[in-house]
Amino acid sequence: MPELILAPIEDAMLYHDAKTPIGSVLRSAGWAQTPVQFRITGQFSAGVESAKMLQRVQDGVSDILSHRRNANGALTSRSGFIADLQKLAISEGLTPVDESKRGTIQDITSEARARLIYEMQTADAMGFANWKSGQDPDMLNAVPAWELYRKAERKVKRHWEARWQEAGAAVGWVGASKEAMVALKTSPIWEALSRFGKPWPPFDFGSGMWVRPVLRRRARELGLLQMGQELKPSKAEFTDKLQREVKELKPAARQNLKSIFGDQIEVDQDVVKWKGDAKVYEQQRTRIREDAGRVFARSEEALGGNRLGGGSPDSPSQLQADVARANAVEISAVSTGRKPLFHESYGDANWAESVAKDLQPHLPNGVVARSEGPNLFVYDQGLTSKFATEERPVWDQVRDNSDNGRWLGFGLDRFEAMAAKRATVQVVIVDPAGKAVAGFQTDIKTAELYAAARALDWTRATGQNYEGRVIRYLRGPA
Amino acid sequence: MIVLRIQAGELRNALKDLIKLAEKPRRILAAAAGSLQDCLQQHFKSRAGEGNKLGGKSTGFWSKISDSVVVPDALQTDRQATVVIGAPEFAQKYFGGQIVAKNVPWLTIPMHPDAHGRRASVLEQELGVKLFVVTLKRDFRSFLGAKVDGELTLFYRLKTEVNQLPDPRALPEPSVMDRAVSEGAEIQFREEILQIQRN
Repeated sequence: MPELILAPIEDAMLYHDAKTPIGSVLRSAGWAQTPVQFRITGQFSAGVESAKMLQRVQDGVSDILSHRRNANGALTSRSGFIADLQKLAISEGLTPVDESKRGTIQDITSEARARLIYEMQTADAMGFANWKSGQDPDMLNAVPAWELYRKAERKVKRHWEARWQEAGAAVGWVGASKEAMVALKTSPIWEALSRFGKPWPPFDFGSGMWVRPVLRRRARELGLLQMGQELKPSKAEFTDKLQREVKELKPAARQNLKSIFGDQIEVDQDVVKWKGDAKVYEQQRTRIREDAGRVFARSEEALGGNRLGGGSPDSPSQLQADVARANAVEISAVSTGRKPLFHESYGDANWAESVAKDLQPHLPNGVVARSEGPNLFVYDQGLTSKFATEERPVWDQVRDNSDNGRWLGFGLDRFEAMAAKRATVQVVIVDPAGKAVAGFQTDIKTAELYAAARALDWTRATGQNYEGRVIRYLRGPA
Repeated sequence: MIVLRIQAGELRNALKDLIKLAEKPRRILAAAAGSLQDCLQQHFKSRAGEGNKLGGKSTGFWSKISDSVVVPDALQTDRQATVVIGAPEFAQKYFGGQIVAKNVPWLTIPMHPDAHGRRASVLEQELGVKLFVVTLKRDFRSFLGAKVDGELTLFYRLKTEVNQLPDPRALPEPSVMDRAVSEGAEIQFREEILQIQRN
């Protein structure tokens, strides 16, 4: 007989407890370009690197989902969770330097941000539990569909009807109704509808939308299934898809994730997964900052002597100084394992040779500075060998790929056959004052990730906060 | 775990009869549970639309309760369907009960729209005010207040304990839930009959 109980939901708890705290500078647009599997299994918050904060979020949400009581017998409440997070963020010194961001959703010390974390994380766990249960064969066939509906009012509402039509068209309306916002639980429309690539709600930040069960008769009347048709669960298919997405990551994409997440991610031949330990990441960040800073300073000095194309011997032009600085950042990124290769042509073979000789003693083992004619190369032997084939020496391939954006850490080889068919964008790296200091073109699908990684090169090298911005479409479909 | 038996004896008997007749009893019960889940979600949605007594910004309380209504597959059998409300704060709303300050001297009871759903520390941070205790000489009632634009504004009533009454409308009327359960079961049962007739 049906009964109603008030209790923790085990699937929601298990889903949440399987998360690994991951510190990162990535904003939500960057996270959206990481494989869905990483977002499901990672405990992260946009721009948050503090291991303590992430652990507190993990523990606090876990307490809420499991109805855990403290020593006084009190449950962790929403207001208690928000107050606790805010207090910790302030004590950790995470108040944004940029005053315009204070109190906004980008400010981890704000109530608005803590509230969003609470709402999204608890809803995500409940949404998962609801979806997972709905995949049980009996549950699926008795209640085969969901209807997207507004559960809470919002001052500014997104156009969910239009979004439904777009998502439906994108998946060929498989298992979904055009007339009502109703679809089978197994329909791909749910993933297409979601900003997070998951087939369960919430489908966007603070949307106020959720799903309600639709019984078999209505689903049949809407033409979503036939009389007597047995639906098969799509859970295994979804899980396979998540694993495939990770497994099929190309070497450049894997290297870029490593560049962003450091040792928190394990990247091996067949395996790309969270290893965790956000605390170690925080400690490593300091060491990498020191190493990158040292190589940056040395490289900038070595490259500062370049007077090609103008400027007096004693005083470089501003352009020359800017180029030297940008190159020095790239060399420091290679030296700290953040990207495989740096290449620049200076037009003077002797000068390039002297710079290579000057730099080599300051680079760590496995990183080579080498010149050939007027070209200067700095490359990480270990990382470049992952991009290279076994048939030819790595150096030959480094030379051949000196302008290949994948080897250079920009994610796209503009000269490859398929490049013309890709939608590409311009990325610029801007300094704290908003001035553009570098830029590159890359694939729109992963632009945010490469923008973040290359901005991080600048931050690590100089100790100042740089930002990568995806600014405009260059080519292809938006 | 708190169990609420929601079905009247009459409904229980009717469901038992349906289940005996059904080829796949678990599906009948799953449909009944799905229908009850929908009934609860719609009830919580209507509660969310009522706003709060203080007129403060919504904390999304009812919305959160609604999200937490799940029909866990592991709890469904041929004899029993179970709908779970997973939000811990619902029990206090449904049963009420006494709350006593234990490791703090006072409980802070919001009495101003800006205090609704906010701890005192968060209010101070967000409003940029410094709260202080105000005690009335007349009856020794205490409050947390602050100077806002030169005026004293009281945000919280300070109490050592509160006794919250159960909210009689926390759940839909039992008859409404019974109807949802029986409709869900019946719809699925008829689907099965139609299928048998078709074969």
